[in-house]
Amino acid sequence: MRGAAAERAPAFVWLPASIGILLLLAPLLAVLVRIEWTQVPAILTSETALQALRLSLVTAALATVLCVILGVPIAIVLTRMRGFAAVLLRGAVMLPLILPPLVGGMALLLLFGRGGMLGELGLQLQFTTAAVVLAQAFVAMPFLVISVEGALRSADRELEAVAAGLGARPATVLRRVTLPLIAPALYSGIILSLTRALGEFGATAMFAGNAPGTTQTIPLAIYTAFNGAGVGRDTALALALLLICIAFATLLLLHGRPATRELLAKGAQ
Amino acid sequence: MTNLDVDIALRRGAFELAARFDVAPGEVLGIAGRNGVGKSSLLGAIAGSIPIDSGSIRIGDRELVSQRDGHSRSVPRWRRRVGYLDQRSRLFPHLSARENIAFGPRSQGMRKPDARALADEWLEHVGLEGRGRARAAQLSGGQQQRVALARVLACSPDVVLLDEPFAALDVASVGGIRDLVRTQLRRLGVPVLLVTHDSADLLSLADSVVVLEAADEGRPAGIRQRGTVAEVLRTPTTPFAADIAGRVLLSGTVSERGTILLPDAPLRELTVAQTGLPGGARAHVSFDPADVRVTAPVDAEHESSSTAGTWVGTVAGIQATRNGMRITTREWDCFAAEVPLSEALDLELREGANARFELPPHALRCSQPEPDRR
Repeated sequence: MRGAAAERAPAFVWLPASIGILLLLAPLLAVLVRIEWTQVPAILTSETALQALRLSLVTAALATVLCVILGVPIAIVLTRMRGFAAVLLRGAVMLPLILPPLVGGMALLLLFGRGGMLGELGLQLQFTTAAVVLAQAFVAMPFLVISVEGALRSADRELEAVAAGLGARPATVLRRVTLPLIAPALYSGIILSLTRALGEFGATAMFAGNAPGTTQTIPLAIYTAFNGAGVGRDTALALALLLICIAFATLLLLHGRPATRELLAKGAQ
Repeated sequence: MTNLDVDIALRRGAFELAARFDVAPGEVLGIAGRNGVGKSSLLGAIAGSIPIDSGSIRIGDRELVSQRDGHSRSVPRWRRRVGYLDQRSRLFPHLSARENIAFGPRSQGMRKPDARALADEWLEHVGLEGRGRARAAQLSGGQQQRVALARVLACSPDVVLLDEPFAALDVASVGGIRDLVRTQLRRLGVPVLLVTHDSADLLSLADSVVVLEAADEGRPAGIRQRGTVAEVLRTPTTPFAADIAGRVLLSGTVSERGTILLPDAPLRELTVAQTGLPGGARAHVSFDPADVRVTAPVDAEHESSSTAGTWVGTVAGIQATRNGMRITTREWDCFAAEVPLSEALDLELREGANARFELPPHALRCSQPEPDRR
């Protein structure tokens, strides 16, 4: 793969590609141009911003952990299922990708909210930090499941058979062979879920609300600042810049991985 | 130390296999047969990757699988204690050579330091001391196979199954590994099954051999000959055994005079040294194609009728072999003769030429078809 990278894409691909790249980057450039750079440090060190940042990082991390704990088993079940049931289950798992997050938030509200089905039973999470985590996990889960399931499908099932032949019980096979083999895909799944959780707005706004300190993550803080009487536009832009930086850093982590691994392998020799 | 007892039948679509045999501790039983005859299915049934339709497999009094009278029982693969190795090493790519070997013992509950020490011992046994930290990708094919062998044997299995373990290796490394396998199997002293196409594998590793042939005459595929390696290679009674022994196999009946009558063959009667078989009995005769005397037909008209083990045929094909030229004839499909190159040149042998073939009695080995072994 790496050796073939020297071959350039043909010209007729470059034109639409350039327009596409422009479409994706121009809005971000607009943010960078219109931002009031001198105010950025002050805004980002303000109590509101720090609170939102802390809450965002903590909830996104917890949501990602939840995605791993629940998503990996889902992926394993999916790969071992056959027929129509598998199609149905896969569709259900992918649903949050297609639904507007707003709808997801609404659904969560109907389940865990005041007067909700589980809310009636005392499991009322509306307007709590737990609701933020739940909303983020809801929208981020498909990314982890897709990534892990794909790897499980292409993983060498024969190695699992070899492990069983060596006396490893199914749980040991999973822990010592299957999971290590899909580690790269699990890693990408984690990064993708994490970035999705960090950017999550709709479901959170609907289900968890927008209370500074408990449920106001960065995306919600941006919304509040941008919408609130028009005075917080600079704040909104600065927070957006912060979010863009975090997203880029995580994506670099994702794509920098093979290089990192090579470096580690060289160091080990 | 316990026997492996196999008595099974399995069916996959139109394919049917039935086999019954046992292997003593320390015995290496070769399993020979053409591709698709069911050798690997047989090993799969023992290892636990292929279900059986009836019968049972036992190691001593431990039953691995049984299927009879509606009762069915199958021990899961990870509790069978059956070591399996084929030509693909399939080392775990995320583990070092040492961790690969330690995997089995650790899975069976051995403590990590003990398993590592055991793995180091095994690395030494297979001649890879000091390479314990290498990953599979950093080892050559032969080294990977050594690690795979150590990984199987380090589990101290009750039975070892080898499915053409040397097939993927280059000729230079086969000898060394074969020797290693023999030494280590001897140390272990458990029943071993060795599937192979190679008579050299049988000669150097196996104590006895069973020959599998495809379904025929209403019988499912199964064992058609069993004997020591020497017996089977000297006196093959099945087409495949004859192939690997490099012999040509003919079937006929014993006449009252003690000769062998061949139906529908250009040579109708063969004089053999002695059959030891009663008249009317079915018999197999095999010969080494190199023992056939090939001469020019002096007088084609005079010699057209076959007499005293001699017949005249038309050359259908000539093929270079390690010993000279192998000749097949138009008149007799299963017949073959081998002559040194110089002789082939002197006789001006080529497709369509006539030649006189003589089968001397001392070159013929006679045997009785074995009673049906299922």
